[in-house]
Amino acid sequence: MTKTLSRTASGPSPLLVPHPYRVIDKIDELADTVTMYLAPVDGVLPDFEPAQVSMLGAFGVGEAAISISHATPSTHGYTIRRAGAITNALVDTPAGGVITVRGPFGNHWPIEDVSTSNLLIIAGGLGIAPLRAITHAAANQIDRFESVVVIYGAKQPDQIMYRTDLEHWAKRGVDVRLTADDAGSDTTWSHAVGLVPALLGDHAVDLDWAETSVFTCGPDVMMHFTAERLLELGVRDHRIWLSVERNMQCGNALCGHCQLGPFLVCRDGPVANYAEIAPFHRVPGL
Amino acid sequence: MDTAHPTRIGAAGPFGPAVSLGIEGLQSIIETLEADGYEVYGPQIQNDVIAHDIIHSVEELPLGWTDEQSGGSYRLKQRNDVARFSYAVGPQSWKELLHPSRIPVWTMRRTPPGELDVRMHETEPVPRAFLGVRPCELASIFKQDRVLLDGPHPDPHYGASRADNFMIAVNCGTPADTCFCTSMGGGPSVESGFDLSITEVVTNRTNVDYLVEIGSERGAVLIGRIQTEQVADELIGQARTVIDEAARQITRRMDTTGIKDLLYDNLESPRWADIAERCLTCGNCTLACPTCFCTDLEDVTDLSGEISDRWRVWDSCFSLEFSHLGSGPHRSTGADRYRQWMVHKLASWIDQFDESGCVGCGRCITWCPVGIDLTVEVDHFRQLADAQGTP
Repeated sequence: MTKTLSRTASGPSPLLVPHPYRVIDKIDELADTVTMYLAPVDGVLPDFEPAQVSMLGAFGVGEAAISISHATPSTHGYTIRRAGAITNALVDTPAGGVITVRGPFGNHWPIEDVSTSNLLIIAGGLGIAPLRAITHAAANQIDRFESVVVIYGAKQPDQIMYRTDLEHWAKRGVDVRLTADDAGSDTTWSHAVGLVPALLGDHAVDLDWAETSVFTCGPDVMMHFTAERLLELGVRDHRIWLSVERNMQCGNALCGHCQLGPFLVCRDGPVANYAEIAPFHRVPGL
Repeated sequence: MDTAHPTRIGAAGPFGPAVSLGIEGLQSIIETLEADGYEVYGPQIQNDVIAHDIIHSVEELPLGWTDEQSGGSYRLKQRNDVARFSYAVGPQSWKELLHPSRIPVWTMRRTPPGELDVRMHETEPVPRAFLGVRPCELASIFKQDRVLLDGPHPDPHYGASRADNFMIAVNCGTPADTCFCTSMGGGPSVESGFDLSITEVVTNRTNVDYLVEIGSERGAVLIGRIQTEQVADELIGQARTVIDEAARQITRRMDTTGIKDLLYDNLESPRWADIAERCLTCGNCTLACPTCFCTDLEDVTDLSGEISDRWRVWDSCFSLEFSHLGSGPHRSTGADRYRQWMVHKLASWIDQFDESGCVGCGRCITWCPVGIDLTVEVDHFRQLADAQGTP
């Protein structure tokens, strides 16, 4: 226990200081979802690793935690869904406008630790965004694996985004499987219909499960049932990693908001190993 | 568990022997610290509670007052002597001074038009002396140090507030019914982490003596500059009795054996819903708790819309917005939120910061409007586990 009469701290961590970034480009992904490419107004673009998150700030409104879905040499691309006042203000900032960025924070998908012959990447809804850059990386090193499989589920067919990337990954040899919870009246939908876990095993995606590592991101309930199904099939629990979301605010493990049991998501995540997080992740409302 | 240290009270330490003072000596300490540029904070009666504020004189201390506390109840009561530190703890911890409830973080301007200018605010490191820090409160400050300074990104505001604190601890002679520091290892007397440590001894209805131990070099220097007396053996004996008595009076217990696993094993217990039927989710416990550190960030724009200030304010895990996600509040029920508070304080804090988040000051029990008592709740889980034969 540290017992010191008086303490000092240096100046603020750069991660506590908002940096102005200019909106360089905006790509409409879905009716309510936009990828905004941002470049620092002054200074250099910081390094980023897939899964990392930044706090994006709209002047006078507030900040929201958004993961970097794509990086170019001069910009970071953030895929933002309109979910409230802050994300609306961010998305409404025109190209050429300025918003603020603190970050990126957090750990990354541990692709360097994957020792199995198969890599399975499972996304639910907007959960594809934090998996996009790592899927690019996996596609670029596809020879390392026997197979790289992407399962991407959305509520409806028209909510599948990054279609160009999906085609690109498939061309590189990634086995891309799409599913929609409900295809509705879309007669052109040639992919699966149903929830993500239903695509695992049996006549859908079948792998040597003992030789499979999994990266997954999506709603908590989707990740929970997906992980349960994977364990049933024989995937080892410590070979499943999930990106978890809690209310991230300071990004510096000081404000207490992003707790999930023992995890401070901004300090210990967002990527968590299922063997460690499962006892907490499976508890609703924790 | 009995963590009173009566045999140490009055013993010489590495910074010199203990000394004895009367009330004039206490006044000299205040004046000497002021002459050295310290703002001196001490206990005084404000709004019917004992609070901490700037003092210049011993006359401002709560002479002849004590506090009576129980679940959901706090009352000041007159004593018939001249004790100035014969109370337990008030609702306000030193947290308000070190980790203030509201501070400006930055100001942004839209200048020139279309651009953003960001100016960070700093906290000035003001030298402050704290007189009357209880052992549990000292322990709570070290717990906040751990969270706010020892992590990967220290909080510069808290660091500035902690840059120069002259700590004058006052050992507990009058614990409240809600106190359980002896279970959490914080009291009723301090062992280290202070500049000076005082035990107040009421010798008769019109006199008190102060036994002062020295815990730092600067504490020794200060004591060398004021008039003190050699400690009589009788005073040491009386001071040890004060601490012994305090330890004896603390009957509330929390059995912390394996408490992390005990609570982790009960995350889905129906008991949380039972507590939630009583809990008002008012957040009083989090405001009164001296270790609760959570903060929220809010933006306030001026009328012109050209200047936006960001403020950091205390937040509470009992508020619905605390767990806000795009899909709505994650901890949507009162049971979820009480569980978050108690499991964090007593269990996950251990995983996050290698120690418990509780010092046993009892404020959360006293200031809970419905008197929810976390020692009783822990006991309930333990009895349940014992009945089921799990460790």
